[in-house]
Amino acid sequence: MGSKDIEKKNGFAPIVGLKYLFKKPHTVRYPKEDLEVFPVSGNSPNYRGFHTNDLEKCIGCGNCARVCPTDAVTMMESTDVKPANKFAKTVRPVFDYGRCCFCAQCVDVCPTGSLQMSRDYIHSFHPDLSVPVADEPEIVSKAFIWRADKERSENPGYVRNETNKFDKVINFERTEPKKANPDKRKISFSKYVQIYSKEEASKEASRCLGCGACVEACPNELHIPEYISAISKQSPEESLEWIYKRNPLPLICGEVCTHQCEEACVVGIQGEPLAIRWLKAFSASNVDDYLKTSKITLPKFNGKKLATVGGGPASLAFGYYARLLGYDVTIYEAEEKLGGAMMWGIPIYRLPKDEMMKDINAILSTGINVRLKTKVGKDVKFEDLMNSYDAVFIGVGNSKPMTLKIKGEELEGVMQGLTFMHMVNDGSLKDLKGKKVVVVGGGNVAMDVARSSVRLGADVTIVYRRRIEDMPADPEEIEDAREEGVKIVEMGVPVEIKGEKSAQTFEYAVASLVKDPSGGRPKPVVDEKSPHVTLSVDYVIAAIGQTPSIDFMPADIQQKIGFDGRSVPVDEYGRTKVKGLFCGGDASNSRQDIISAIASGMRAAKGVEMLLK
Amino acid sequence: MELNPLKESNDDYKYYELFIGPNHPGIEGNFSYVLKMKGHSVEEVTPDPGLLHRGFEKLMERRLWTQNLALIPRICVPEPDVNEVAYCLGVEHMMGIDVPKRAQYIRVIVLELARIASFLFGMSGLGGTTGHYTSVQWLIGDRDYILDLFEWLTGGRVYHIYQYPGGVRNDLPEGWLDKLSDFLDYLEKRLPEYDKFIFQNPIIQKRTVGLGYISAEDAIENGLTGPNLRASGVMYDIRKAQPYLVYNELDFDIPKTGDGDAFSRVLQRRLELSESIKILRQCIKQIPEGTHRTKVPNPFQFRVPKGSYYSKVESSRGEFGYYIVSDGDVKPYRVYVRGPSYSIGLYYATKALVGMRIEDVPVWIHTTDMCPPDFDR
Repeated sequence: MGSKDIEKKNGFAPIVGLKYLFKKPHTVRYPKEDLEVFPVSGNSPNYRGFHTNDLEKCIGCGNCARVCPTDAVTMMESTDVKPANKFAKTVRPVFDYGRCCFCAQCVDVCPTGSLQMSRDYIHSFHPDLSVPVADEPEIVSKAFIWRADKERSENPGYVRNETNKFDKVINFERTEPKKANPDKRKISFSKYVQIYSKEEASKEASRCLGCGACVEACPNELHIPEYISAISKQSPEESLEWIYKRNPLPLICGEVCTHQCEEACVVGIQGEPLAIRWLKAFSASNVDDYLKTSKITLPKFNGKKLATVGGGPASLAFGYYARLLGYDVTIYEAEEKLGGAMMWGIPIYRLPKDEMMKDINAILSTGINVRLKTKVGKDVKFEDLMNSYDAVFIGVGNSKPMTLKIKGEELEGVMQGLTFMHMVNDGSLKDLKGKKVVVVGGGNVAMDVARSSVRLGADVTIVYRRRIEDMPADPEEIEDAREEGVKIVEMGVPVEIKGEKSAQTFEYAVASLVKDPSGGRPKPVVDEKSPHVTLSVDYVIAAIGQTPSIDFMPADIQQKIGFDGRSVPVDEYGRTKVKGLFCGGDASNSRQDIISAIASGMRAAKGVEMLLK
Repeated sequence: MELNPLKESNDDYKYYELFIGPNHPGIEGNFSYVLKMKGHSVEEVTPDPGLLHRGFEKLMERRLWTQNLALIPRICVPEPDVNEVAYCLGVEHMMGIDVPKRAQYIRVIVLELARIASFLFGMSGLGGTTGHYTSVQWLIGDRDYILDLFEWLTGGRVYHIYQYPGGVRNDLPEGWLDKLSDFLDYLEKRLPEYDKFIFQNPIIQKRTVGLGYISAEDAIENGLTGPNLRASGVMYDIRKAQPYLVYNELDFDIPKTGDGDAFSRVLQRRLELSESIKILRQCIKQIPEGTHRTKVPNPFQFRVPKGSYYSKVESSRGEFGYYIVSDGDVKPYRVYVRGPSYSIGLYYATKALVGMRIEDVPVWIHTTDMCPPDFDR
């Protein structure tokens, strides 16, 4: 009908409506009849109705509560649920349906996929008639505020599409840094993982949900969401300011931290966790002057003097934070360079020395005294330190390696992992071409030894007594080592090393795993039936751990602090049982990594402040 | 004006004050006019906004960029999608995001479907104010079929919260386009019945023809947009003048009525409804395969670069604009909303209603199809 026809006045035209007198209404009689339009009975298949939540899959990260535009979600303590993993919190979302606007943004940002919406939407209930009218508002409010559980999950409505990655608001794919290929990198000691470019870093940082699950996993509780958010804002300076508050060795940690934070990252539950470590390296490498960028003003010296024994990460962190409190710190280091295990234990393809010196020099520029090549107990007496300083911090690390306790260990060619790494790092060991090397152990030191040997031209086999997935080394390290051609033997328990003068064969038994009834890691067991394998070798390197050595102390102090041969017992502020004597780093931590050492150094600085103020 | 019955002057009894507010069936939404009446005719009009004010623009400054998507549809209840699309277009422009072609077609489908729903809803208001109640039932009933389609597509009936910077939240469900096609067939069959029942109806014509004439100059001067402007003969439509999304790939006309009275304003909507059906049919045919969304940062890291942008969309009521200012943070610095009903409902009404008879006021309000929430935010 054209426009002119519509405008024509026609008194009889409305009669057309009469025929609808005899037609059925186009409303449906709910719930007896369904709308015809949907492919399923009832309402729409992706209806945004009440929430359902798999309480045991939920980890209580609180992203649903943070994204809620109407503040309808509260995280409430729910002690009756089993946590999904060791990082899961005990809080669970509780919904206030008086506020909820059913936009489903909470479903979009749920990193575990536990939170969904159902097709149920009728919010009526039968009130108990025995309840007095005055109490009804309370019942009504209880019906409106509830903890979503699996009750309605048989009727799913708006759920996240698992197959289409475009439907996911969270970006589950990690931006990998550029890496040299295994063939190229295995012939050179130069660093093979490139630090992120600005674009890569901001792309990776924009995956962060900012929930802070990582903070609790970090030994020193760095401000992780804040510094990642700053990178996403393309401001490495602001990012470093946040990092430097709790970590004075940002570039070192950015390269070689054990990154427990990434294990806790909620994005890692369904995808790849954020590369928190590489992001930290990005910030640190893009800032030249840490102290100026962090706007740190140094206080005047308060006249009190502190000494540290050892110059590793714990001592450096202790020195830095004590200096910020106004103390005059002197570091006593036995070697010719600072850095301790970082300097001599970590190969330069993972941590170039110039990067390490950048961090250390920033700390030293605050006005910390260093005495290199001064071994406490030999060049200086420990008692003199105790007398001439107000407090002493022991950060000697682990220098006494554990032995294999098998026959033939005294043979030439049998070495300890740390000794080997020291020789590689100081340049005294330059070539292993054509040699056969067996590395015993499955930690990061074992990987460093194996991969350094590969770079020196050796044919390397790692023998570990449990399975590969039980190895304490970082998974990336294991993967990279295998890419470079390191052979890994699982379930191999060393039996004997044979040889006339130097080691020639290495024998191990293939163990079977037995479950630990108390719930620990499964134990490898060797019995008479276990087959034995013999490898011909030139070197056997044991990297099965090490213990601290505090021989520089007089025996009475050793006894007083209760040293048990494995670690020095300390309280939460690093205080030993002797007044004025503090300890940190690997010597007192069970978690032997750099970030734990920094944490212990920082705590000890607080302990000093409590003692001397 | 206060009345004092003890005063003897006749003038005080000649004038009285009439409040047309939310309790009056003839007004749209929770809005009100205070009319100074002389007998049957209106002497002076004072719009009385505030009942609907929720401070949307301020609320937006306190929410994340993507959280706002759950808030802004509430600015215009009968046609919420224009808000989402205008906001997303602005954010995408500032961030430099490319939207996939499929998502753009889906957006056009959603916008045109919402336009039809809004036209049906608006025309039903005319039935309500003229006592022609059967047409209300018909039009609202047919609008419900659109809401069913929306429910299937988005998961919500009225507030769809379906747009997202970079595209739309879900792809079209399987079979949805067939159902849309079925609905369009049904609606096209119904249109001649509407024409006979409503537009050729002598009662409706008597009430609307010649009422509230707006000249083209007046319309331009007072900033009217949309069908109200086009009914006065000014052929301005953003879809044609500054095509956004994929409107330049679609073939449609802007119908011309040009009388400028209440009847032509309703007729303009009725004819544009036919054009919307035409657009939808083309979209069903032309929609390409592909993704419906570009990957954007998650809501917590969603930052819009520093700058400002005014994005506008042709809604069923006229130009719906969003002026967005960002300082580079995760929340907007300022969002200003330009509702299309602002010029006619708040401003032009004070001139247009003067001299009108009291029973014509609701008819005039409904033929302008104003939506007070979009200016009383």
